[in-house]
Amino acid sequence: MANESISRRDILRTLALGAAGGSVLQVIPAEAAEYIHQMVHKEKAAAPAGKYAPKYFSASQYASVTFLCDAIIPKDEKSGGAVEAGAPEFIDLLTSENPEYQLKLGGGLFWLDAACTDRYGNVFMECTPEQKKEIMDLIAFRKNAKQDASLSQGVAFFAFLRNLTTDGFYTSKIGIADLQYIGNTSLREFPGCSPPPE
Amino acid sequence: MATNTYDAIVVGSGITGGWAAKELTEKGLNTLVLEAGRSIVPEQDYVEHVPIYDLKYRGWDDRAERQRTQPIQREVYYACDEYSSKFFVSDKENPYTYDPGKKFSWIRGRQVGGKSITWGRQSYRWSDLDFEANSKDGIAVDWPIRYADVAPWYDYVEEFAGISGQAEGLPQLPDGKFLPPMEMTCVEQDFRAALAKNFDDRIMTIGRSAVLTRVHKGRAACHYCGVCHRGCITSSYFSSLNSTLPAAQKTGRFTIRPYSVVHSLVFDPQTRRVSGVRVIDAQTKNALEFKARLFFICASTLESTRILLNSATPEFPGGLANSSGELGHNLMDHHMGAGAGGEMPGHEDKMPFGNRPNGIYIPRFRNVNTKQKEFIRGYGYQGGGSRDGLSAAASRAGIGVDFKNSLKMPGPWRMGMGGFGECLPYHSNYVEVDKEKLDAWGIPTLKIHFEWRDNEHAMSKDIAVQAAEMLAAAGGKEIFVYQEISTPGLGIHEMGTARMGRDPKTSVLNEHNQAHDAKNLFLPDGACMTSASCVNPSLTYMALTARACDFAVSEIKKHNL
Repeated sequence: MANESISRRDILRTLALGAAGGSVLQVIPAEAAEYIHQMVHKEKAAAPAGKYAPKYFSASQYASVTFLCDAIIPKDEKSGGAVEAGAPEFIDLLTSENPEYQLKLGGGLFWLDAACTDRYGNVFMECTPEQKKEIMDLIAFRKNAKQDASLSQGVAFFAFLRNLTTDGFYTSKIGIADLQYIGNTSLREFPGCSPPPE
Repeated sequence: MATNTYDAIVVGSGITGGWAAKELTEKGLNTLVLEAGRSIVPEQDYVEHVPIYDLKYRGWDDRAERQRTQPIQREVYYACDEYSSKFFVSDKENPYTYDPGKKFSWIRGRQVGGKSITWGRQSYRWSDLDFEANSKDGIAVDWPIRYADVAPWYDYVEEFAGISGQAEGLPQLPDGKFLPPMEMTCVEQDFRAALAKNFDDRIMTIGRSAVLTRVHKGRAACHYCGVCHRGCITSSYFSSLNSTLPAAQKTGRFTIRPYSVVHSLVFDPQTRRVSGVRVIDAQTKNALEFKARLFFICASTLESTRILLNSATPEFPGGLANSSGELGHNLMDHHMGAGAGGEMPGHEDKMPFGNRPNGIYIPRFRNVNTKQKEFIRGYGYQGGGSRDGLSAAASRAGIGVDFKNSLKMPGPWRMGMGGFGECLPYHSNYVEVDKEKLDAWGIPTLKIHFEWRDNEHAMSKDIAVQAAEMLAAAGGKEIFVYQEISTPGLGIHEMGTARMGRDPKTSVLNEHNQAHDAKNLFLPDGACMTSASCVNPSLTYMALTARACDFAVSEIKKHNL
């Protein structure tokens, strides 16, 4: 049995590590590397054309998810954001086949709309930009739930959505580019430890 | 029919089947390999360099589908995933049963290459501490062989397969013919030094792995992409597909037939030999028969035994070559599920780079020179030290650009280790065939009866305690300890059920892996094991297979077979 347990999070971690060591890159014999590149190229599936139709979320829920994904990992001067990276589609696809996610995300969205109605008199997507920012800042930090227990469900929901958004982002081409990951880098040897990037 | 007749038939194309094919064809025998599963085309089936965003579920897999068709196989969560689930069997097509409350997770790979595609590649020699264990403890039966019998064959298979590792001079873990070792990370180097300073009975070494650190026998060195179980287009780790089967192919005496599910063997009571093998074509479901002088059953521990159990004759009502009554009994697996991990302060200025498909190994130190009160035998640890990266994201808070940037900050260094413990051979851990429950090809399936006993449970506790103590001695912080003994089978080191021994009354195979009851029948895979050691078994299977092939061919030349 394999002793190294390569979990999904480990895969993400290795992406980060790949970004870390550009300075010690060495290549395997050119023909092997070329073969790998051809393989990757061949295997890349063409992106499905057209607009994604949500499988699980209703149109208004999907709009909320999309808005929240964009807020969690926005586009910046260095790279694209979670929406561009397809995180909402990714989250909807996974949620459509997983009752646990349906409970957590579906329930969380209900909580969000109810909390916004209590505070601002409108569901989340109909709140002003300032109101949206205020509620998101409240549920983006666990310490806020310690001071105000009524936020607990919102905080738990947001933390879960944030993890999914992060996974959706860093398993996308855009996210991997954000890490400056340079592919399945071929190394001549495993160098042990090297200095971190500048 | 002439076309159905060969000098030798090998059942299975994994680690031992591949070796049998190579050895027998190279020694001049016209050999047919029967593989139950499909062919593998590396250019299409290997997926180690497919980016995660090209997968439909981006690595999260279609869990509903996996649960429907592979509920047991998917317990190997790190390998039976969206990339590699195709290298594991369908649990629907390949059913088996176990006692209520006594689950046994039977992990299988049916394709050309078998489980050698997805194996863990850890490759260690056994020692006389293992081969003498049953005799010294007065349990089960004695191994009919000793380290000196196997040592030259370890040399032989290591030189071909290519094993990277560090010589340490330990009597309980003999050194081999190693390619250069892989590097340790800085926390692993620290840990090795801390063990040397704080303990006089144990050391830590880099894993000995069937992954090439240099170009070897025409195969490229590892390029450290780190996901070997998805295949390897550069053939840098040992699998039968990457090395032994191509060698057999080169001889011109090799035929492989995929989709060939072996039903049973035909025994000729006149000659007291196996005369043929009954096969069901997995695609057409047609029944076929193939004949040969020599039979090597290399279908994996429990599948090999299942074939013999399904080959009962009037003379052998309890299964072919079962005059001892031991066929199916003495099933073993390594127990896991105990260990510890912790943060290792320091080295903030360093990062590991690349994905080393290997970890560290702490060889057995219990019951080597001293005696434990609570248990006999021992365990070794596998683990490693690396730095947290994105895996820390789950504990990070916030939103927006600040959050996005925080994700790219590395976390602390960690060191972790988990034990692999020896399991004793108990007669009452056994398998039998259930004639009522058939697989997708109408073949009776196995009923597995297995549970861990006191010795395994006592050892498991010690594994957790010692791991924590070593981490504490090495300066670990935030140490977490776990100890929940693994579901049997998930070690994927199932052994026994057709054990070797000197006495035909108490064992199925002799010292050459040859059936006491049928001279042209050999079982060199895990079924032959008389005890389990705590050491990963595949290298020993390779050595025993090559040794058995050498013996079988010499017997043919002497006209004894």
